[in-house]
Amino acid sequence: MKLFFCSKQKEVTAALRQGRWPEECDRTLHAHVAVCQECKDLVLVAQALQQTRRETMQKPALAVSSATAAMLWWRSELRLRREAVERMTRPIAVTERFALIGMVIAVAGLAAWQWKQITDWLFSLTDLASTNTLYPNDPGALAFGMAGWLPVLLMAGLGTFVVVWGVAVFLLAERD
Amino acid sequence: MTWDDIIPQAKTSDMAETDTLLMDEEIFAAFYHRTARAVWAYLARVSGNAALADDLLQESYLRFLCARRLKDDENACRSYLFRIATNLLRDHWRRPQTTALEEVPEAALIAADSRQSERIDSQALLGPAFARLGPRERQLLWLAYAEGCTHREIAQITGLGAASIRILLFRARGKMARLLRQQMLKPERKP
Repeated sequence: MKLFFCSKQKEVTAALRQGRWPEECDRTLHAHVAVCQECKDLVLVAQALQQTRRETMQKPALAVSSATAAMLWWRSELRLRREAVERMTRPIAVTERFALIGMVIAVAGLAAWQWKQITDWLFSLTDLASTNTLYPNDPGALAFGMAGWLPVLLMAGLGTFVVVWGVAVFLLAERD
Repeated sequence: MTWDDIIPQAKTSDMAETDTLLMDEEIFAAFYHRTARAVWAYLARVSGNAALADDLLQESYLRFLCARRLKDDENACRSYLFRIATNLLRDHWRRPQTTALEEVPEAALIAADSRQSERIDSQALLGPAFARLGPRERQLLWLAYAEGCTHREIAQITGLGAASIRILLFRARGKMARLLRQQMLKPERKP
């Protein structure tokens, strides 16, 4: 598209904005608009848009009432108040997150450091179960297979706890 | 001391600070009366969706009040309000659940609009011509010729470079004029 900016465009635009077009404009401007394609386009588009604006603003569907303004004012106050509370509690939330991450690191570190003791303890539980001290005269208790399953159950319980805890943390973070 | 004790104190101090910054509720009501219809018309015409315009109008005023820009003069406030409305429209178009408006074929857009509960009367003056323009073109043309904004104001509202406004407007105006002429040449449909 070839760019051509007419020198009279500002004058025509001003006349359209001020509502002087076409009655209050001089003949020379009319004569110019009649021959200048750019100004013709300008007049056509501006008049169509101004007319549409007038029609749209008169639509009864839009209720501009004092009640709406008051409701907006009230809602903005609520929003400002909520934002103020959020600003106040943000450092607490950040501290909580740091504490949570620190706790996870500490537990993981402790588990890694004391891994041997933990496994020994788990195996001691297995041994304790296999001695069947609760029902020494009932060989069926041994058949129950509790001895081999105890460490697995403990690990599964721990795993479930970690998963549930992770989901809870995720949901909390999402809510924030 | 519990958090319940602390937070109300914070709120009180915050609201005291707010009172010094915010305009009076009555002044806001008057400002709302003067500007609401113009902002709604802009939102409705540019989006082509009256229900969306209703929602975005409310959100625009809420953000305007929360932004605490109310010590500015009326023109600056008005300009800022249009800027918020423009950003909200852009956010709406960018939302993942709806395809970006730039990517939607105009014919599909017109069809989608017609399903809205209250369709903007696009058969009136601008007709389908305005709907066939891109969203940015609609914004620029509406702000320039319906609202009478200067190029600088349009640049502030839309976030575009002030230097590019003139060229973009020139192109949009040419396209719009061409579409309007085509519309005028079309024979009117019989009912």
